[in-house]
Amino acid sequence: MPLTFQFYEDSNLTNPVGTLSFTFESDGSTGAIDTVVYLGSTDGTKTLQAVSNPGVDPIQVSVSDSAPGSGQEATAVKLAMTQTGLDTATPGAALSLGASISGGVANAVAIWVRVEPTTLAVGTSNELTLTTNNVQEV
Amino acid sequence: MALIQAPMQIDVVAPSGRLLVAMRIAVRQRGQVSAPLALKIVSGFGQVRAPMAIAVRAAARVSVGLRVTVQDSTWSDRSRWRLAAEIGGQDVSALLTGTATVEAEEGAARIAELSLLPDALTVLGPPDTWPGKPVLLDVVFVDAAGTQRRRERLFTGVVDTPAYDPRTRTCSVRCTDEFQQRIERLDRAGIAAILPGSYWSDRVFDAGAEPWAHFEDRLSTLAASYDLDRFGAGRLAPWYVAGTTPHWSWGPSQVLDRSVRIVLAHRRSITTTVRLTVEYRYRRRRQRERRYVWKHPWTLCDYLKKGSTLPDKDTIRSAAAGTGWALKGEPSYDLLPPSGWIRCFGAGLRAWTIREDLRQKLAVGATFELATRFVQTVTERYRIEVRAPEAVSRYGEQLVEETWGMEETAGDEWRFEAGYEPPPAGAVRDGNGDWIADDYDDPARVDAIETLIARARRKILASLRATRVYGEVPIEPGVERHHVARIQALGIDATGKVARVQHTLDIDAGRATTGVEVALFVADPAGVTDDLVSAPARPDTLSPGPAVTVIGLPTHLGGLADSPPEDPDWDGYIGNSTTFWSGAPVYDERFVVKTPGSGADGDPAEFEAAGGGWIPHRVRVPVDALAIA
Amino acid sequence: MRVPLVIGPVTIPEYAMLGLEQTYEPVEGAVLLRASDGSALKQTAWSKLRTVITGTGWIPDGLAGIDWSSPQLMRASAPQSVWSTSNVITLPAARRGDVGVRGFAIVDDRPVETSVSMAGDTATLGTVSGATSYYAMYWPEFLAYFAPPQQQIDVTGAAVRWRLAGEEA
Repeated sequence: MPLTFQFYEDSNLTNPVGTLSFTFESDGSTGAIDTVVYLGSTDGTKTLQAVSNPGVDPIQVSVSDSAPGSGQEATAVKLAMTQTGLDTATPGAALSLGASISGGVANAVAIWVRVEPTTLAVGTSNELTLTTNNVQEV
Repeated sequence: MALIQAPMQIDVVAPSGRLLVAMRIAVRQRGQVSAPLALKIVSGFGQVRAPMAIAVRAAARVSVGLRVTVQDSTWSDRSRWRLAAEIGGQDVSALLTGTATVEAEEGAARIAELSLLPDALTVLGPPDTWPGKPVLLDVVFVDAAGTQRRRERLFTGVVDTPAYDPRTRTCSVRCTDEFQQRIERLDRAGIAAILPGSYWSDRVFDAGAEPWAHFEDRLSTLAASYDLDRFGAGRLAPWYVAGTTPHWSWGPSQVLDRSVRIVLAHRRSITTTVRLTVEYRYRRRRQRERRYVWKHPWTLCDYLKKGSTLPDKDTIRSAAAGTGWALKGEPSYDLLPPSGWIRCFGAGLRAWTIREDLRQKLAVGATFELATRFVQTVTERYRIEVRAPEAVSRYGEQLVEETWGMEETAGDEWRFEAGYEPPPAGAVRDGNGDWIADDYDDPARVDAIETLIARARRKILASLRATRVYGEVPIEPGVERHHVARIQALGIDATGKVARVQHTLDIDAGRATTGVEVALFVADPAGVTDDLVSAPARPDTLSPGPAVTVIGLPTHLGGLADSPPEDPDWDGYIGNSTTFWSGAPVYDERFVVKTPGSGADGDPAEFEAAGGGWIPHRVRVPVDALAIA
Repeated sequence: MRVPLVIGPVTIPEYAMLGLEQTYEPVEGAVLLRASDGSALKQTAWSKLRTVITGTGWIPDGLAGIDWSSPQLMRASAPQSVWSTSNVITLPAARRGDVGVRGFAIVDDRPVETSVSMAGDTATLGTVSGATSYYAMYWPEFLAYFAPPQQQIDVTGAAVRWRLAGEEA
């Protein structure tokens, strides 16, 4: 059964994110690009928890690289709970979202994402994914 | 009889197993038959249950792809283009058809119009679900082999109005960047933060206005416009920034043939001068205090020789308290000397006796202070002329007059509640001796006047940029309303702030162009410098002196040879000498205290700042380069 | 050498195309913009081909069974060519694979046939001494939307004229 929890573009959980796209100039003139996504469910009866130890182990969101060593790396992405937190976040580090996230619009968690490409070679890289750890809904 | 003992070993091997008890019993009887018995007891009664719940879940993760594109910043070939669009997060580039337009005008929302093929219904759902879906529109430049080289944003916003024609099954969408809604979501502090340098006063604008009206009020004090750029980020764009080299410069080899147009300003629509008359009316609370001094003019020897009536202390006091003014403290009295010997000139020693209680009752002199409070309405008038001399020399004097009034006339009643009270803290002395406290809000006055001056400046500058030059160039996605552009073609060379951008991309014809309109300030530059916006100083509102604060009360005595006829308007002590000349008038004994009226100080007063003349405020016109050849 | 014309599943029989003419016309969303000083800038949004094939023969074309509402893969009978000074020539990908590529060396302004070896889209022509340039000929194929053919059938004279027009999809 698919999870009702998804990443959304807006805090009202009306627009699910398809793909997060970032475009940079090869001369480096674009600085870092910040954006925010919301992890939540429109179903208020569900709660998201980590599979490893439900309700205890934190739900974590991180960046996974399907082709490490080529193209863009996971260290291109910083994650934080607030936009100002991005300044001090560690590139490529996972972000802990707490032991459980409840459903409903009011409980959606905002995740700030800052992308600065690790390489300025012209091209499009689709190998990075923003993903949670193994989670379940109860 | 032997006891059968059976050691048991119980092995529970499975949660839902059965209890197996293996026993070996050996029964021996003395002497005779020994029959080894092996007994196996297998219990079938019931089962041990351990209910288990086994949930098999797929290892699920919530994830989205991150696409990072680095595009060649040196790629400048714009000859091959495609449109790319996303609606509601879904790529609809392959569904775009016809002509896409994006229009952005100063002060208005950015509008995009797209047409979509019928497959849009399958991809996006029915058109009635589209309003509010986010829209991104990009133009993509490709190389000869069709590989994407650069992708530039044209529009970021949401679907506003879809239209669907069931006969041809084509959909068109009108999209907006939601400029007004974005402003509506801000609070007052947020609006002040996006418009730095703007002025606002609750004496000029409505304090209860909605966010959009508040935003327009604040913006009306700036010579600037505020718009969202092509990514949806807000930008405050001053109409003129000194020393800016144009962001864009298009010459005759870029500006498309027959696309250049120029619109020159109407003289009637120009304002070069705004005359502001601001009146500030407020309550001036006055507290007038007077000290009254009465002294019987005779010496004691005269008194002994001629005799006179003397007033009681009580009479004096009730006369003072009955004036309607408040008595400050208690009067002080001069008394007759106590009994004793008095030496008078030419008469030797005289004996003087007086009963002590009588002596305490009578007064030969008294001093007391009275005070009253009343309110005066004061009006300060400021006349300020905001003027652009460079525009006057070009267009003549085009005058607009504005009158504004501010009031501080409400307040508690100003009077003595129960007896005398000292003047309020902060009261100053007027020239005529009154204590005055004004219900005056100087910060509000300054804010209001500065807001009005800033508003007038904008009004003048706005009217001076009605000259527009329009040109069309091949598609340039980066042109924004906060840029300065230079258009040179067909003999016209104009540099000014971009006031309108219109992108038109026609897929059928293959034509992608951008129309740019620049606004130009036109006047006769004369090196005028801007005056700083600041409120003029307050006029001097104090009365001239001299301060009259002491009133001497006279004494009128009848029964003397030279006593005039009694005048009911006398004040002071009216009494009689006790040696009566026959035929001399005898007065009614009384003590009268008269208090002065408020006089001219009770009437409304008006004061003009700077002597009533027009205080000049100069506006410099930042004339743009415009050549018409 | 006869190159058969194939429209979708149908190979037009030789006797239906005893006389055959094919025209290729470019159809493009493109415009030549003129700046105010006359400089030209060409803008292209898309570029495709339109083709008109007319055939004459003794028997009808055989196209009656085709579904004209879907695009059909047309394997052309009329060739296209690429000229180059080098004997290594890159050809467009929209090429018939069943009919090979023919290569020529231009010697003294006359074409001399030479060998061709293909590697992907690159044709390497056999060098010929004295050649000033090389020339490769290929037969295009592309998906196109066609309208049903116009036919003019002379029943008693047993002559068939057919005309088929289509645009690249």
